[in-house]
Amino acid sequence: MKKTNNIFYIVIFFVILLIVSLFSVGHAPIRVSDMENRKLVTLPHFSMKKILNGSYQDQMENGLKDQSLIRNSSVRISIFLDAAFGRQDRNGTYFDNDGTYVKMETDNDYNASRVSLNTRILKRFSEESGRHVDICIIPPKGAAEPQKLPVFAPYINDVAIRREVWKQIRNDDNMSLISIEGFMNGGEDRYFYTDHHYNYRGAYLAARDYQRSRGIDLLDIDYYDPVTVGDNFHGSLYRKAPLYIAKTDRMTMPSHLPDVSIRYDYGFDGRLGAISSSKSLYEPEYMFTSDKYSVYMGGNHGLAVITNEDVQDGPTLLMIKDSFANSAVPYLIGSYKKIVMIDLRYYGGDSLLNEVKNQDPDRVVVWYETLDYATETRFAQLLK
Amino acid sequence: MVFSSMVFLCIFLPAVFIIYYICPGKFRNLFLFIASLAFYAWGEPVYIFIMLFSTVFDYVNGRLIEHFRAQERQRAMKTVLVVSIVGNLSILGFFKYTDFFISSINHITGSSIGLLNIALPIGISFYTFQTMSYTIDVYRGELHAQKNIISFGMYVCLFPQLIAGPIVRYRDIAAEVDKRHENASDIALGIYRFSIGLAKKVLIANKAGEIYNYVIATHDDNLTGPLVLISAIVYSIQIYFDFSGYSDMAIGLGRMFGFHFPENFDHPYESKSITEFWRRWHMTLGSWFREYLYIPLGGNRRGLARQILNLLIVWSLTGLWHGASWNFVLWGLYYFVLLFIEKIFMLRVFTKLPQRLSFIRVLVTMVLVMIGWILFSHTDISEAWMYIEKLFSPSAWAAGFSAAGGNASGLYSTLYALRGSAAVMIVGIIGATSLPHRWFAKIDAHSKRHGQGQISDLQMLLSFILITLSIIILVSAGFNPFLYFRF
Repeated sequence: MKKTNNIFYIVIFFVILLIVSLFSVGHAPIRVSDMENRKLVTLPHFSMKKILNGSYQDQMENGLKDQSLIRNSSVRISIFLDAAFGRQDRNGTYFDNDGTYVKMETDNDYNASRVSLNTRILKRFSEESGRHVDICIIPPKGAAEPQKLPVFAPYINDVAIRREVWKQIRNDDNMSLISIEGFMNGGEDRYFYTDHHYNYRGAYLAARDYQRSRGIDLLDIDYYDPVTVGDNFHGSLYRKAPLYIAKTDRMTMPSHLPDVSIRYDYGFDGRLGAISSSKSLYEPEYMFTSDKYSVYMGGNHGLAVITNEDVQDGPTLLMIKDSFANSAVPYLIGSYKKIVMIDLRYYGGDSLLNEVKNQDPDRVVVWYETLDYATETRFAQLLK
Repeated sequence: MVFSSMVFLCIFLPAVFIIYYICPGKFRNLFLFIASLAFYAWGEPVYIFIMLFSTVFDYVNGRLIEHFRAQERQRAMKTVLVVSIVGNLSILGFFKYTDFFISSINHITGSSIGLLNIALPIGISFYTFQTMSYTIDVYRGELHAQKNIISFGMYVCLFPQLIAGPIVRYRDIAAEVDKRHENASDIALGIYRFSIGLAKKVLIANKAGEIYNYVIATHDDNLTGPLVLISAIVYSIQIYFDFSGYSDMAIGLGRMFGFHFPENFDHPYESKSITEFWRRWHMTLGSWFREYLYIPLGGNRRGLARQILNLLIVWSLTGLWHGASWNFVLWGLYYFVLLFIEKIFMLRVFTKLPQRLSFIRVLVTMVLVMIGWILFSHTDISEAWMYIEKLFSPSAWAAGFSAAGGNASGLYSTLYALRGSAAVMIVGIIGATSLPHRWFAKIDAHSKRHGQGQISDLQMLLSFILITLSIIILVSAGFNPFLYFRF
């Protein structure tokens, strides 16, 4: 064994490099990453043009990384090491030691002045349309369950944002800020573990709070006989920071819902194509995609008109909403003849003001998660 | 191409190493030259011709100077030298500083001449300085011109130091260009050095960079004193481990092929004065400017006033060399002022300090260097100034400890940044000193060695662990979740 350390070392060094490269090139190309929810880059074919514009080089480097058999393990090890050394966030999500995720929403994500501006715009909308406007802002997980945040994690001051909205509308009889006391006192198990949305129970509590503000009591949650439609899945936040210990989520749907007919219009963000009409508030096929939350109504649509076929007539509710409304609507539809949902990102009509007038709602509610409300730039469209 | 990449580690390095050692000796320079061109072309497929031009240009200049020396035509020699310097500086000036020049004119005169948006060829600041050092040294008679254009081309384009230094003067490796004595010991120790450098870059510098990016993403209104301090410490760590890591990799790679490049860093953060700092940081740049600018200008041999002028010129240009932006010039001038103060009286004050209090000097030097880095890291000078202000502003510090607002408080942002950066800061600060080196050497002295010039068992173990970890982090850095689901 004399005098062989050097040769041994040199050989092993190159053997390591060879093994690593075989991990990337020594197998048929892998096309898709379930863990990251995207197509994987494959190794490029030779092309002089691509070399000259640099895309060959980028594809080669990304391809070697994407195709590596140790890719998923490397990511998990890397996050584990980060967490072991005190970093409990990655790619915009916090994670805590028991596998729960909280989407990172901090002061850097919004402008306080936009909150007041948005509220003032909604006041004008209320005047222009002649309707009473309710503002129903749902707190994000870090505000409702701060114990799930990593120690010292910066997070938005949800109370301060609500207070700002309240300040703007408290003297206006045609505007209300919905109290979410029932939601806030609803205990644990209101949000998904690996997604930032509230789950079926959180949606129920929020819907119940809204109806209470209208003087209506919702039936007990047990009436809805919740049914599990999917188990053991990982939501969108997991993909940003896959942990070994991540909890899994369950998708649960209420049943005993009234018969409905739904008409969709304008843009959408679903993956299963534009659904122009439907007889159900659920699109179960989404359980087989990576965007499980879209099981509710197939995602967000520019316009959705839901008619309750079980009643002859009744009030109409118009919702200006983000995705948080999608899972609350099943609990609300029983109290209305029609719910009209407008998603400002996808609405493609000429005049929202006219749309509102034509739908002739008895009530208008703005249904948003806090940070979405604080960053929405499209409320002004309601004035057109 | 970049050393800390899959392409380099998995494809380029193994292929080049194996083919090099299969090649018979007389073809090795040619092969390294071609491999280096491929390395460069990978990242710069179009501008490679500028580097080739620069190579041929100074090859010809070198030979011309020697030709004229043989004919004792002093003036012709000098003309060629001037042509070489002007030519190299023009290339550098055109590609790197044209838009800087234009926008400065616009700023001063209020005109709005359009920018040319010329892309900066990689490594141009390094290879033009290297070829200039060659022609100047040939002119001075310190070197014989290299007659073999392949060997000269190999020197200019040599991939280990092409992109990020060290700045290797031709005379540093003149003998090795013509004949190298490759051996297993150099290869092994080169690989070892390379693995240390790789770990410095991937495990420490990149992590520090992540934290730095996290902190500076904070809105100006929410930026507190503690956050600025953390960002300054973390940036100082990042830039040192990034740059010295690259130099380690370059020196290690050179050694794998039989070259012995000069050192570039000598634990600069242990310096007890700014004067000492610049003898330990980016040493090859400092000696280049000293050798080819400061001394020809007269150095300190023409009286104090001239010395100060010389220093001013050298430091403005040192700053400017780092980037085509006024904050870099300001950074250079910042050091000029500090060095001037030290020269005039501070150094004498320092030597009066008792030995056991010398750590104060290290701390003061470090604070000054960190402030310098704030200036260096922000091309927008007003932003740099805001950071420096907040660093020393009592109200910005109070904001960093204010608990108002619960999770949205300044206190929380400080504590979270601290908990996320503590590990990197501790590892970075200790790693920047010579302590780890000395501890390791002590332990290693006991480990088994199988002979002279052999890598020890402990070094092998450390090296393999570092390489494995680095590759894991490298592969995972391609992790790119599709952030489609914003809502």
